[in-house]
Amino acid sequence: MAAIHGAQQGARVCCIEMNDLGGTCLHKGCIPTKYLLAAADKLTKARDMEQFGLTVHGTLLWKKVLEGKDKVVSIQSRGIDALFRSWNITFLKGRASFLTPTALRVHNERERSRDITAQKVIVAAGSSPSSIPGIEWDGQSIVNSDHILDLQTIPESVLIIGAGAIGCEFACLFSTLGTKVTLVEMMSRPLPLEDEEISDIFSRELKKRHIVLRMETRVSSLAKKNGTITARFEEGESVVVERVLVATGRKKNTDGLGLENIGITDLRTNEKMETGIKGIYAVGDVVGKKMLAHVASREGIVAIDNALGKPACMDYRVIPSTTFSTPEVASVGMTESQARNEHGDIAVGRFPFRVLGKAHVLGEIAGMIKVVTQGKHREIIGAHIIGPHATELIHELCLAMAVRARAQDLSEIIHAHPTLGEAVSEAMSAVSGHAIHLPREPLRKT
Amino acid sequence: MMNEDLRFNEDHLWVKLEGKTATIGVSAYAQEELGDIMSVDFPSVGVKIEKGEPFGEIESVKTVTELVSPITGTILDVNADLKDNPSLINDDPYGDGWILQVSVEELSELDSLMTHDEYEKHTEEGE
Repeated sequence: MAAIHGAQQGARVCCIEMNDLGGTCLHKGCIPTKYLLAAADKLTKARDMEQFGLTVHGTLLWKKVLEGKDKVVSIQSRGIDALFRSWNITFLKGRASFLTPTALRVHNERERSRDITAQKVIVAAGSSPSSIPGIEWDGQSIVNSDHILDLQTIPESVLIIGAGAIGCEFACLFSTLGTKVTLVEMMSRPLPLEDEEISDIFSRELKKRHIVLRMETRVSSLAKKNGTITARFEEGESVVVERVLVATGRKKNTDGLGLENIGITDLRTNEKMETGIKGIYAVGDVVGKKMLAHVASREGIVAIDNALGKPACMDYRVIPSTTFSTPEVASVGMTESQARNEHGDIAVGRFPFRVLGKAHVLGEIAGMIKVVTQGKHREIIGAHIIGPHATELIHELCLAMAVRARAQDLSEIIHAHPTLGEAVSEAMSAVSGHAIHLPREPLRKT
Repeated sequence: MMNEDLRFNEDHLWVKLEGKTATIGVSAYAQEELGDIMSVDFPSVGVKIEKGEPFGEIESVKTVTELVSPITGTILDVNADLKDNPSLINDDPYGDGWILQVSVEELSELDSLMTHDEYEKHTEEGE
């Protein structure tokens, strides 16, 4: 993103990458996982066909799924390559490390190292899966989110350590594939950064898929024996599984960048994405403010603009967060409890998908849209969706927050019928207790 | 099962006492109102539930509702079949659709619950 944006502004750009073009998102993250989840989603839909009066018989060909995933990644990577060529961007394959603030050495296993100079440098070295003390992966039976993308066979059972977005997406994937899944999390709920109510609904959905949830605990040891792994939990209980997926977070790829040669120890940035050294910018996971590909993209644009003399600031106020689980989860802005702590005067609207005709037509009725508003004008300061197409629906709420819209503004916009988007305007109406398709709130007994 | 043996709370759960063991489920009226049941979530054996307190959730095509316990006791057994087949509650609310069994602490707690006739009248009158 940054390289192309820079070239579009007329800069001479060189991009250094040790792997194929596209980074973690394309090769180890967003895209390949979404392909596997799309395959699982199609499998779920095929199994549910009977409710639509159709019977479907077939076999899951896992190797074909993996081939399809690799093909999509390859097409996307070549697409970036074509864009680079069209904008005359020089691509150097290798690892870069700073010699001085304007000179870098590019190491490549196949060729001799070469040194290049640049007036401005943007570091976008990304992140890698990180482990927790005592839990080490071997790439075979104990794996991380990189290894598991190329799993050649579907395991009978898997223990997933970490119920963040990555852990939850894989939990849903494997449960669809017929694997017995145990999901363990040290916090009290899955997707612990999401709104509490969303996590509650998500827990129910995971249980419906027969995923065993072990919250507020840690794995104290893993013991391999005869092709199985015994995982012991803090409180003494244990579970025997075929594979373990460690999904406990990611660490910044700062090793080997030669930061010591330019006199800094980390890549902290200001709002212009500039590091402590003038002319050196850092963006994305290696900065780690929000480890999301779309945040990195925006940071890259801001960094390039500043590098080329066009002042720009990074704004983190409206950032969608998406989990491609079943059902999907998406959010923007504050959770209800964050808003309550920060503002006090808040009002919340909720609208369940199961009330909508379209949700019943799709056969996907679980979940809801929840909106958090603040002040007497009911400005939207947070929105949370769990349910069908949540990751697409969230963008209307992002726009609403970007223009500082009030709940009433969105409730008055005509939403097409029958669509899932009707839930957005109804959730906004629910803020004042006037959602058309919800019964009157019962008078609570005291 | 004779419905006359059952006692009901205002939250539409029934309880049937045999010795000191009580079986708990959802009333026929409630399952009718809820429509097709999609899932039931309840605690496991050994957990204590309290009269008047929610112990689980029932999800139908129309809504998600808390299950409020009619009685205090410790769970002795749960209906595991409901995990794969929650529609048992629709098919047979007073039989195969039972939810859990508890060992009752205070038998007198049943006195405040409604008889089948009282419950029928309660649902006819509306809540």
